[in-house]
Amino acid sequence: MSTPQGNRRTRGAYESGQDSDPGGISRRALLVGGAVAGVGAAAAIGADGYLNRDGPSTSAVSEEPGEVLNGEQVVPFHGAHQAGVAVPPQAHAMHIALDLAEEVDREGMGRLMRILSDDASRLTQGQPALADTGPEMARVPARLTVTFGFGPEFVRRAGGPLPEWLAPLPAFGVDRLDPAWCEGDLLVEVASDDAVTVAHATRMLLKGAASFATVRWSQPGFRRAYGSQVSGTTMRNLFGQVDGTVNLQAGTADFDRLVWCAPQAGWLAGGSSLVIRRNALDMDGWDRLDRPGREESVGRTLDTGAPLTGTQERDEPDFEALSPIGFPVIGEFSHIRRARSDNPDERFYRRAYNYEDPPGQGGAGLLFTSFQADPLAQFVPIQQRLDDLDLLNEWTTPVGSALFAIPPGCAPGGFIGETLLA
Amino acid sequence: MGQTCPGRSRWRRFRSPVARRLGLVAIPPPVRLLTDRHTHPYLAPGQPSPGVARAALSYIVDVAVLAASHSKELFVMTNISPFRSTRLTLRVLVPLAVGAVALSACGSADTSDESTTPEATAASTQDPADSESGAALSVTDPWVSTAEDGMTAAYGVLANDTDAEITITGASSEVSSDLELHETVMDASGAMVMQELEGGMVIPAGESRTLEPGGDHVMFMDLNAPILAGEEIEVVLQLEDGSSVPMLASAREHAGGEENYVGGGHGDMDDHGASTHDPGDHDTHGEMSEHTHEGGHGEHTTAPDEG
Repeated sequence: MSTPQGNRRTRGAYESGQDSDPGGISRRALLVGGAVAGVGAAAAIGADGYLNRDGPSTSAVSEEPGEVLNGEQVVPFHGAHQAGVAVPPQAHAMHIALDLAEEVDREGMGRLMRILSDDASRLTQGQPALADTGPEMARVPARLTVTFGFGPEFVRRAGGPLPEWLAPLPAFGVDRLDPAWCEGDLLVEVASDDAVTVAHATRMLLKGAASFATVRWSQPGFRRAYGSQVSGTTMRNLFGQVDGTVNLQAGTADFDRLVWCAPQAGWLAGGSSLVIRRNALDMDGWDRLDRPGREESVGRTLDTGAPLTGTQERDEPDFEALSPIGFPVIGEFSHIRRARSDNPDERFYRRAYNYEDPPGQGGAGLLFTSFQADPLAQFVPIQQRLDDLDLLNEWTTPVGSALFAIPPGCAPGGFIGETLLA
Repeated sequence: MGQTCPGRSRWRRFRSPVARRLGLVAIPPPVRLLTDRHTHPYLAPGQPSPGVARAALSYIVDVAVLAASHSKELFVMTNISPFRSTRLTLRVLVPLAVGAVALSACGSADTSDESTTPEATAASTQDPADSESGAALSVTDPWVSTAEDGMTAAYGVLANDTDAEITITGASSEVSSDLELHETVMDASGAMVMQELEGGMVIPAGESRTLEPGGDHVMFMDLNAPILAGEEIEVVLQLEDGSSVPMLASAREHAGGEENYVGGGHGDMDDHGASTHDPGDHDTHGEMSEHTHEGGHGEHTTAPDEG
């Protein structure tokens, strides 16, 4: 970029400490100043974007309850990923599976996803949807998120390449599946800290889908209400067990690698998969079990969720520890040992909800949901280990199972599923 | 700076000796690009305006082009220490400070406009197709009710951003041969009926008018094709001064609003089923009315409606 003459000349100018044009502005100083200002500008933009990357509202989610009304909290809808996957689980959720009507074709599915995405993008921001018949009920979002998933028939009808894992999970020995709780063409998961918000958003979305699909199943779920415990506390299932201690953390590199589909995944790049299994809990049988037996079935204490070899919930379980009579403290048959794999890639992000039917009309259970990039590689091996041996199977029974592809997020003006349908 | 460089026409040279001493020889392309939120109202909270990035990029590109054309001087840049010379301090630190402060101020001005309240985030999350502005009339959230044939209506929020009254005299669309502007009024028997607005639809200066079920709307009198849920229907509003304002209405299923039409023709609204409503059957009107037409707007455990 320079000639030998140029080198000599500029070096000479530098050594003299003088600009080539003493009276005015040297080109050199202008270039330096401009380039430095440009770098400064870029740094300012980068810093500004970095500092504000989460948006003004999500930073307030972790504040103490009572300082800011949680009902006003919104989770941004648009982004590279659907917001409802990584957001800290809300108190109430409704999972709905829809079956597409026979005559709905690819063009109709595009219209359907445009309607649903538009409704979701408004409701999640605390705005009424178009043609909202109850606009006042949309004003309390309370961290509302809406997540969409596609079943195999949806992807087939859209003409898109079907991921190899998008099919009903293999049958497991412990399964007692009821087809009414299994599979589906389109999944809609509505979650919010406020149950009234979930009800209104569910109704608006189902109205939007009414001329395209029918409801196959709907599975509501709940966790602790917002403000009952410090946010981030591991949930308890209806057996009273601390459930979900060992889990991927949103925002970590492991999470990004194991949950989001790689860029090579085509239309699913930036998406994920969702396994949703309805586990019925035998509450009566559990009542008959004494406390040590309960703790042995999982391998954790009931009061704090600490492993039997530890004192705090986050302690690493010591699978080698032996009791005085020579048996392992954390049994071979215990749930946490069977769920642990030597392969660090066999992990997924769990996001479970409790469910309870009204007394006399069903039972109670756990709505197990997990997100992973490849369920065949990450979820099935773990479930197979639990199927082979897990003392907890005595009291839990899978009665429903479904697998959906979770498409990536969208930008303003787009819609969820555009990578497949546009 | 006597050399020619690309984009020179966009730079303006400072004549002031003070500016020249400070090292500001020319200013970058129009600074208004840094605050062009009015053309980009759809930012997510916290996102800097694209105009900021674009202005900075063009500034950097211009400097890079200058540097390439004066490549000999590049070698000197690595040897300059700003602190060894006050002249260089002024010429390095001042542009740096001006650039960084101006752009971060613009960036924070963008984000400080965002707020956590749902109302304020509305403007930043709307689909660009939802908000269009004609000369002076802006249309927000336009939508139209789905229908197989016959009559249907379009709604939205019309805002008059000027200081003069705007009168909408008519509307046109490809899907219907005849469109009318309607209002909903109470007739002698106490029922709500809709009728054509005499004198067009008037929006006073600085105000807005909401077209909604049970109120004012744009009526499609005779559909020539079904409107399916999710479709985008173009409607052109004609103003009194001869200009026209387009609006792109999203089709949504909507069950409410069984107003009778003064002048007949209500029975043509087949999408609302074959039932006819006597005015006395209405306890309420608009979206709260009970309706008996077949359809999937109730519990969604049955087969979907065809419409």
